[in-house]
Amino acid sequence: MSGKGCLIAILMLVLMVVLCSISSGFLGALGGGNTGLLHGIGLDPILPTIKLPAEMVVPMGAVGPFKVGLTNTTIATILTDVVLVVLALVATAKIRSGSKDAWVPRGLQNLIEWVIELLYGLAESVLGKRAKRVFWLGATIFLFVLIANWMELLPGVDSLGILEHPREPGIAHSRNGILLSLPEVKNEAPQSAEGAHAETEYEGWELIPFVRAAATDLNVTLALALISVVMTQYYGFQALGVQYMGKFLATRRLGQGNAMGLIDLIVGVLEAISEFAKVISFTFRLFGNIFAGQILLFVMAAFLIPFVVVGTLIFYGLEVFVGLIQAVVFMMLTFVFIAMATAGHGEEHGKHSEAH
Amino acid sequence: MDPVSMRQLAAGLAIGLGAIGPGIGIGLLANGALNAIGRNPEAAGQIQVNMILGIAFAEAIAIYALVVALLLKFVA
Repeated sequence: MSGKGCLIAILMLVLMVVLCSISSGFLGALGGGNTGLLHGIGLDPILPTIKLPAEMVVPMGAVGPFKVGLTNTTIATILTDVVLVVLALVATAKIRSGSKDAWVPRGLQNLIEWVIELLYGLAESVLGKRAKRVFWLGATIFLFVLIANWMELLPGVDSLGILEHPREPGIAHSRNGILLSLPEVKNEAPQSAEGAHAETEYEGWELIPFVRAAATDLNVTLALALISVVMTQYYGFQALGVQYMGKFLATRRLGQGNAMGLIDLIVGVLEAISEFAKVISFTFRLFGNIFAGQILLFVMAAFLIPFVVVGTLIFYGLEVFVGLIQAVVFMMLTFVFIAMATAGHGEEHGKHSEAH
Repeated sequence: MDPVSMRQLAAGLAIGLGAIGPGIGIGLLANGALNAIGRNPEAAGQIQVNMILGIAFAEAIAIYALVVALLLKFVA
């Protein structure tokens, strides 16, 4: 590596440390309370709060007959979609313009083509010929989950937000400030009127981040799981027709007067149950991994080892890996399930064991 | 025992006991994969991919336990 490259690498590392620190509230927690390093420039990060349901950034309001609000995971989902659409448009601009430049892909187009080819190779290894028809589903899921997972790691996600006081009986739902805990916010906070100690002035206030990783909302992962499983049924019907129902309602051997047909009936019921189990395991696998990763970063950065930035970096790298792996797993499982559903009865036994 | 400390204990037990199985499973998986790579180094790439997939499944079970622990801690 040349000297220049080395310098750039070191600068990148330093930048990453700083950005990670900001994103995890590390610098703010360094001095504790009002002496955090960021305090000088008017930003004063507070420790993150861990909450299971997605928080409302725009509170519930009536739009026509519906009550509509905007949660921070919805914002993340929309951002992910925007990123994907823009990426697709930019990467295929040359192809759509019909210029001969596109024949030799360069830059972004090359990168995206490489990714797509890689994914198609994976799809083909599982699905064989059928990959052509099913590829879009798995690839879309992969790209969506990947971008959504990696978005969690951007500085500012989970750390920029609204300060809010949780609802308490008697106290109205109060909201304050826009960005991190700006000093003005502190003065407006009811607690400071009681002359509380500087460190406890944020007591009871919670940060509602503007953007929170989409997969930390069960609704998002459940939606993806349902899409995947429902499409599996669709492709199963498409490939096998009414025969596909024979998987769940196996009456063939019973119709022949074979007593073993009773076992087939029970197996059919189990097959039906396993379809629902797929939904649950899809949902919680993605949700659990990303939610746990988020908490891991919180804990590592803010609570446990606030003075060892390297620790945060290691887990940051781990989360990059986990985000990728979960996207791959979601896609591969979708392909494997579709392969199982579309295969005739005789072929499917080999792949059964790896499904759960 | 009061409900609050009971809940803390339950959350700790849930993830602690739930991590045992996946831990053994991941160990077995890596063992098998490394044996296979040792026998047939040319297939290392494919074995690695499948090993990582398998590990993701084993890990998912630990994640279920973690979800239960988190639910106990923050929701219930």
